[in-house]
Amino acid sequence: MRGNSLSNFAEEVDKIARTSGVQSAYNRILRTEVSLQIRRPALAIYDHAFHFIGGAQKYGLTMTSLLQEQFDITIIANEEVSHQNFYEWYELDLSKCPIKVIKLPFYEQKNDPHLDPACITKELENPFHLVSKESGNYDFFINNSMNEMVFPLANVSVLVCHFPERRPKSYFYADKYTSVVYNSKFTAEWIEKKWKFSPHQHIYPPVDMLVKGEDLKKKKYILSVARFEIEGTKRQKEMIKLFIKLSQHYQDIAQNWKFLVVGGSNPGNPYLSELDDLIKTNSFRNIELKVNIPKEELKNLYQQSSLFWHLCGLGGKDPAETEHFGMAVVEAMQNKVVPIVFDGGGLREIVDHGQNGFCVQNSAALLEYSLKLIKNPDILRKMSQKACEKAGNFSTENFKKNVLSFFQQLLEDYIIKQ
Amino acid sequence: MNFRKHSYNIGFFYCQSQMGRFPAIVLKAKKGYYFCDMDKASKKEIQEIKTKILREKEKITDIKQLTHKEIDREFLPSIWELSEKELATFIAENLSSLAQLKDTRPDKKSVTSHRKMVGKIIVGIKRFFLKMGSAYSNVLLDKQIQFNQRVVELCQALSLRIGEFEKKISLMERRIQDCEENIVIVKDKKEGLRLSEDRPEDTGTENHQD
Repeated sequence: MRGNSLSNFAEEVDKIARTSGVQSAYNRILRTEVSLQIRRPALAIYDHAFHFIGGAQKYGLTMTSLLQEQFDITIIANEEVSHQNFYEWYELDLSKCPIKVIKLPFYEQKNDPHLDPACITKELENPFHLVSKESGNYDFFINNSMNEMVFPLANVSVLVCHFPERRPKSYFYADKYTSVVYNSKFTAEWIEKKWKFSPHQHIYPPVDMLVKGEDLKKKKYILSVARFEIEGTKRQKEMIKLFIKLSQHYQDIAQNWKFLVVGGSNPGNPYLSELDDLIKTNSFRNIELKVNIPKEELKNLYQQSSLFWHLCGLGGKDPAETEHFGMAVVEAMQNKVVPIVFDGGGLREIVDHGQNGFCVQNSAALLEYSLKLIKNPDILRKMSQKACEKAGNFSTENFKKNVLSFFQQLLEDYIIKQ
Repeated sequence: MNFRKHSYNIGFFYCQSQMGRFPAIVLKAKKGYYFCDMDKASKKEIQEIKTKILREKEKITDIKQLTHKEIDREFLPSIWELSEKELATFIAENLSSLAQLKDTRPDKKSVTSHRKMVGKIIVGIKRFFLKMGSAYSNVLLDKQIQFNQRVVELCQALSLRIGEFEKKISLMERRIQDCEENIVIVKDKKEGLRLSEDRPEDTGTENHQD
């Protein structure tokens, strides 16, 4: 009997290989193994930028750390990166998940660590097919990068989309994934506009700067936290100019308030030098640039600051230049810092205008609301409390709940029922 | 293997699934069946089938061949959906390719042959006829080329002009922005004065410089 059933199975696998290809046949075997509990389900998570520190990578790796109990996880990267890096960057222990590095010869020849998928045209061979092929060795495959050029071959595939940067061109496979997870409603809206399909699962990013029961000693600090992009898309220059204007017209602000511009940057960033020059030329001592500071120092600044400015998206010519979510804004709000942000992108989902902060369409509105809060400490205090309450919605705890229930459902659907 | 703390009934079953029947020892729980052991021979046989298929899979590098289906498609961009930034790239790319396509005369090098032996002769004859015919076709094509040249130049000129307009608009936007910021400050100062007139004893939190 046993011999019969297994020969049936072997025949069926052969038939699938002939009709639907070897990959489908292999997938059938993998699914059978997991259904019969011969082994734990295997999951691979891929990001072509795992070797860089970033919000999107933190999202994917936090997801990985939460799924370690249910899956045997392999982390796929394209450049060398270590568990130590992940621990230092995100405080995540992923030592149980082996890292597999798949080097892409196309980018190796360019000798550029930034693997930009946008430079791949249909005239070129798809360099990411090496990753596509690897995806077929697992039960579950998560593509965490904003790279729709990886064709998923696993039984269950999940594309985590932080924003659809490109329109469908050559090698577009985003619609071939079992599920597409999106980080904000803004992202979902643009997936529909650009990719012409509705994504499946909404999971807000995890933000864990939440202060519990601490009475924060606030100082007269206005804070900005954003990467110093060479193109200046985070609008630090505009914000510095606005603070200079405020300081020129209000002695109280010039003497008592500080503007702290915090962010990460690569060495030799021309935009950063421009900002430095702008501050020096105007000889304002109450503006400080803080580059690549440790997490502890950043936490202290969040705890001490009163206002948070974020103008990413102002005057932008492309939705990709707008904040897709805005983790730094949530971090600030969790520390009772009242945000004044650009009215666009994912920021609208975080800040409720007039309730826990302000959304502004232009620089004049930023000045108006800043003056209002600076002159009315009572309003500032009330808003800071509400900001903290709202930011609680984006906690790591909520992220964990959403991730576990989503993957539990996928796993249940994957296992063949009797 | 971890089991939930339910009351279990143990038994030997055949597992009937989409791929056939398997003998297995099954623990029956409230919420379904938990396979705690398959006989080793069955596991080994599944492993052998897996190894065989995996070997075949490893040999294939082409994704299309692996899946038995075409995976690539053509996508035509709709210019009405493009953002300002995307439009700028689209215009630049198309202007450049328009300039390359303006000469519609057939290229001698476009006549080729895949035949090894007689190919050279065929190409020679074809090129001869092409040269003969070009004396007549050039009369028509020269005008077309002139027209194309004009269209390309016109598009380039319009693009330059739009660029100039954009610069001017951006400058004006900056000025308007500046005015709006100043209005906010003036309004705020006026409000401050009004409040200090209403409450002369109130010293206020700010000192006005101007």
